[in-house]
Amino acid sequence: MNAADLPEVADGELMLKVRSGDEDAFRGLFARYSPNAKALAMRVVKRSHLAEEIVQEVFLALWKDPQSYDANRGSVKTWLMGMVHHRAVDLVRREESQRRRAQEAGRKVVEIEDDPAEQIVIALGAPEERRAVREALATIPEEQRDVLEMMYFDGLSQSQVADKTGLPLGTVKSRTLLGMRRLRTSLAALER
Amino acid sequence: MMRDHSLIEELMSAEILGGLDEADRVVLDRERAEHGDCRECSRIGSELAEAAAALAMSLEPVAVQVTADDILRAAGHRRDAGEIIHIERAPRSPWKSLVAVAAALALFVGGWFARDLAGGSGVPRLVRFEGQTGQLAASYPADGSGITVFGTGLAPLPQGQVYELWTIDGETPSSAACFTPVDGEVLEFVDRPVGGADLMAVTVESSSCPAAPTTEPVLVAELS
Repeated sequence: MNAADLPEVADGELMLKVRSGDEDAFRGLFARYSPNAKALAMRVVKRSHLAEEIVQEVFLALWKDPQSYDANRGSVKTWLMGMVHHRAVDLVRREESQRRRAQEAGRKVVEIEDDPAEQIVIALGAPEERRAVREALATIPEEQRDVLEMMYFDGLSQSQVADKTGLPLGTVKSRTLLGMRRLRTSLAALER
Repeated sequence: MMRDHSLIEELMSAEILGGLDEADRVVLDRERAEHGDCRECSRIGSELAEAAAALAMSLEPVAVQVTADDILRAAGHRRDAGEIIHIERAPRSPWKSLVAVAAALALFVGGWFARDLAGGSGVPRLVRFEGQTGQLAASYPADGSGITVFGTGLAPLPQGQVYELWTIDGETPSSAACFTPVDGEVLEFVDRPVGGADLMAVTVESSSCPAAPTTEPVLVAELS
């Protein structure tokens, strides 16, 4: 099987083949999800080379230990994006902690900046799915969506979101719950 | 009667988004222990994970430099857990890239000799773009009367899209040219003045070459 012949093959099937050491299946999953994985990592860590490292780590982990994927707990895509997000947020928080320590020590700290040059956009992935997901996101009231995005993309905890926005923590929590409920409902409607 | 899941759902929602505070993690751990092997909890967890992944999938994909083969090579086709591996991007067609850059430079330098012989003035300036895709540089004469752009390894674009070069004076971008790399390579002379620009940038645009950028720059060069 050639990686170019894989677009119609389901993710689960590719994972089964990866488990048996099929390199083309691995190439297929990489081609399918690495651009989205990098987009997510970039959004969280803000720097291309770190995002690239996260993508490498995740796909290396996929190749070396495909047994860690449990189909009962969700789709391959969800598993992959979960790993990417976890690593990215972890990295941001480690850096935040180091920065705080450095500030306490009175040292000069270089702030991380968005690099607009690192936003290369290419038309890979599944534009139909992207459009559908964006439509689902659009159904969430803006104040709820903002809270979800601050947590998911900026790596902020609920109390940090409350500090940043001036909202009571309870409001942040209720917006999180309602926003995720709405998103789940909209996504479920898409699948029907 | 089904147990109330609203609290655990609230806590799991924050957890899956990466926003659960440490104090709430203690509460979530306690709730999980109390719910035990709970089918409804699993369902909620799966749905929340899918919803979080959907947030990721709503982003525009970004080109990845490393390839699947780089990773396979680095892994040595083995699956020994715990092995530390540093992945290097495999060189791609080094001769081709070198030849392209050399050809571009030869043309550029040759062009400048010809220009000097014809009475042109000044030493050309060379700037390198920073960004994610490939390697791109631009040269322009001291009087800023034209720009030569050359590069390799530029990411391919889908049909209907082009790279657009901008000169930016303060906060005002002016379109200089649109180009489409061939095999990732570009060599273009742009008959547009640099003027008072202090930045050049490249964006990905529709092939209509809009008069103002519609996307974020993918490459940027300072002209200081």
